[in-house]
Amino acid sequence: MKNLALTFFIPLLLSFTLSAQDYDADLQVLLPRIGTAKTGADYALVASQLNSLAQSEPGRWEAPFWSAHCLVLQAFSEKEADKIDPILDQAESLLEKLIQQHPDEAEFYVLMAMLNQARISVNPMTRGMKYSGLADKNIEKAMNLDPDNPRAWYLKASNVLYTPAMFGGGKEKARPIFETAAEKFGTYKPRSPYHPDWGREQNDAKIKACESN
Amino acid sequence: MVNTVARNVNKPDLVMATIAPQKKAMNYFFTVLVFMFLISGTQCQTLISGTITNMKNEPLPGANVMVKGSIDGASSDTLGHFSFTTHRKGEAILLTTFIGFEADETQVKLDGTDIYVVCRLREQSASLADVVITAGSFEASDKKKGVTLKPLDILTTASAAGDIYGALSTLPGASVVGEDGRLFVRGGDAYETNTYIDGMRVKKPYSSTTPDLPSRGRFSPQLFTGTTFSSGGYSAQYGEALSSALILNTTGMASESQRGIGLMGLGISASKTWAGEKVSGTIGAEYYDLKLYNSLVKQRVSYDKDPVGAGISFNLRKKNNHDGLLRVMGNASLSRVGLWYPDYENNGVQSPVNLDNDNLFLNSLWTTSAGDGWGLKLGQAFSYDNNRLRPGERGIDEKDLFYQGKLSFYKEFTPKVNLLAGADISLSRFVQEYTDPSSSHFRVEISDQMPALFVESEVMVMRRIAIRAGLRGEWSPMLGELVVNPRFSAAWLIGEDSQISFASGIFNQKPQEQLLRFTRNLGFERAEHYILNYQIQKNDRIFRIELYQKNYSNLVCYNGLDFTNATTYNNRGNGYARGLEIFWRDQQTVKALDYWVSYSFIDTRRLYRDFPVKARPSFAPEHNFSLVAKWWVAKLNTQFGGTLSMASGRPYNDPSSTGFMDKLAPSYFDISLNASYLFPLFGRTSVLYLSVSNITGRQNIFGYHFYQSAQGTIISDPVKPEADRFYFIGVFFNFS
Repeated sequence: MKNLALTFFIPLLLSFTLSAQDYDADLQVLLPRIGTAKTGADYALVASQLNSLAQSEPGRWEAPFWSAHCLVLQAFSEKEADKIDPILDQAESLLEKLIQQHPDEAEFYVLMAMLNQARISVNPMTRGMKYSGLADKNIEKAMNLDPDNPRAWYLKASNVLYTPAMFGGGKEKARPIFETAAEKFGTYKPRSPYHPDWGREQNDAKIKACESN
Repeated sequence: MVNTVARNVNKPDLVMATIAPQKKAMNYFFTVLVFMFLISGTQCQTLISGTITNMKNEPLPGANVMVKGSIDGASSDTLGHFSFTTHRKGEAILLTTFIGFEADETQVKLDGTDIYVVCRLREQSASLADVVITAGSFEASDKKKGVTLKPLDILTTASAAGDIYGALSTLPGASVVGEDGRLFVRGGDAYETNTYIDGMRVKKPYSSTTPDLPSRGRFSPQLFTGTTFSSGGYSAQYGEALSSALILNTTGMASESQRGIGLMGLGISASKTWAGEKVSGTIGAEYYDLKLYNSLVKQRVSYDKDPVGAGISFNLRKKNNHDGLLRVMGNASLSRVGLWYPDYENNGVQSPVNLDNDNLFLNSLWTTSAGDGWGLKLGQAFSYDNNRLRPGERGIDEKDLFYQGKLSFYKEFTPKVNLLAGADISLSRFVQEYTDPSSSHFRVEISDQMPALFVESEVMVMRRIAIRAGLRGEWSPMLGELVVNPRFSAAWLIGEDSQISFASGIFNQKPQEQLLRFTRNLGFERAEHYILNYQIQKNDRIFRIELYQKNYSNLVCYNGLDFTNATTYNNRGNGYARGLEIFWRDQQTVKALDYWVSYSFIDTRRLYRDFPVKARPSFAPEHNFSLVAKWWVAKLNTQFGGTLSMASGRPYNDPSSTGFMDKLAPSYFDISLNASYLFPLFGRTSVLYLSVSNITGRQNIFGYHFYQSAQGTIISDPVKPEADRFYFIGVFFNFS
């Protein structure tokens, strides 16, 4: 009889624990999907999955942060200029809340800088000056909080690379900064499995691009 | 699937703890676990699939579907199809989201049976932030949607030579009046257009000039982030303009500290900007002397004193703690010029005309939040202008003092309802002194303290219809008259990229000081506007077409032969202007090429001033056409620009003809070119700028003056530009 009771009881118990949100487990499932996402729709889906997860535990930073990260990537993949701002607006509101809660987290400013750079593509002629300036400010904040953050250095270098030589940018000026970033990537250890650890490959690729003419 | 495995792998510890560590039980447990896996692989899992469409049943690719509160979901493919599985059971909500559409929630029952759903998403209804009422309005800012011209566009328009008003004259609604330089909008005289900086009226926005030489704006386009050129139907916030409002908003905090020096063929300028977190400021100075230029480029007019001028300017920005921002700007300038000009009242004998002008302008705006979602704006503007004109032996000295204070409150109750209310007061004092060696001294002083109240609300009344309704009341103690102006406009978003909008209203303006010199027994002049506009904007292309009707009444009339006689003055003038305008801008078709085309047709007649009968005024050519093109050549770091302007001939009055204003001057034609070359210096970007007007050298004639020669014959004297071509060369250095 006892066995019979267990036969009914255990599946019941299991289904209960299954339906309770398991934040960390879900996170571990979703984070790799950011890496495998290809289209804008893929990013949008992971972003809203993460957002849904974020609502289950409002105190945690990981899901909203990665959701915002995903939205920024979605914006970069978006081809219609009109659609970029609404996507970034969502990301920015997530990120602004996070910065309010954790004003000392360098990675949040790094992402904000990326977001600023994404806004430029809507209209480079008129937005270039303003948003690359904003990006610079956020990179500076990130560097003040965490001078060894390699992604801050990587973004700084990218900003220089995409600034025309006329305006004090270009390959030659960008290359030493990418190299500094590479050194930082060499020693950098993310503080938790959920902290960002991207950028090495991109940085190496940019160094190569700077070398070629 | 991946999802479930991950969870189950983490679970055994927990499950084991709840079961007694008996071997039998352990075996049993594994059996159950295997069983569980089987169940989760088959019955516990529900397959959800379906299609997502818009309300017209067209598939929406890239939309998201999720089981609410879980991370189970999928996005739709190119045909709008999706499918995914979930382990959730029981009642659940399927949440469908897509940017630009309202989220949809569908109740489903998850019990292992496959589910197929069709989700139809409704397009998000627009909020006020998405709607710009485009009837009568050209907005230029980098914030809002529906932008047609940006501040940078003004700076780089070839025919404008850096002048705001010059650039705006390439837009539909504005007429080219080459010998004047001011804005003439939709058959209206220049005084019918007013300029507002940060909401405050600018009494003397144009530089002071002698007759038949064009004036320029006093303010550099670089001071402003947003420019709205309204050719009618504007907000109840703005008064004292019969035809048009040019609304300029200054920049916020400076972002970078820098110094700048400009060397021009005609002068020199320098500026310094400090940028801090809470405070930023700029000071600048400029000086010009056209002596050298006039000796190099042949001038049609002969200068007695070549134009010279100097100015200083500043602006200050201060952030307060509670979202407050204080902006203060000011400039002081003086200009001197003397030239020989035919005296038409004296057989056209050349006589010297000297003009000295001193001008002071201060403007401040304080914006802050007033709690409970209310925003507060307090603006103050002060100007002083001293203009001393010396035609021959005569002297006309004018002093103009103007102050305006304006307090307004704004609240957005919901994204679909907002309210603006406020009050302003304008204090003005105008003194004219006329001296003549033969006659006695004549002095007139006109002052007024005019309070005004305004209220305006914008409401989304239906999903796609926004309306703006406002009321403005003004009281002039000098005229002893109260006027109430209702204003109404609406926009209907008919498609994702297109809209129809309508604007209307009543607009009043006090008679010009020149008309009040001999009598105050006059009333406000009045105009009614009705404007219908269609606009379609897709990516970087915009097309708009506009129809309007403007009815004038109460225009001031007098007898031109007896203009000092107060009894000839009355408000019996009237008239109309109606027309069609087309605008096309394309920044997309050819990479790095941006061009726009404007065309305006005006049909207008008016009885005003000293007109004996209703006639088309000289400042309203029937057809106006302009083409502006800009081409950025990255390899050369240079932007090339060109402007083609054409206008049909303007009416003039030939005293030998029996009719009034029944002759037409030749049509106007001009091609201007410019180039801006950017180059690095001291880690900043410097600019070399070149421009030349009227490249074809066409002899444009704006109209004719008639006078009686000493022999008694009537002579017609054509009004021409001061030179065939205008050249500008300048280099602007920036330092950190």
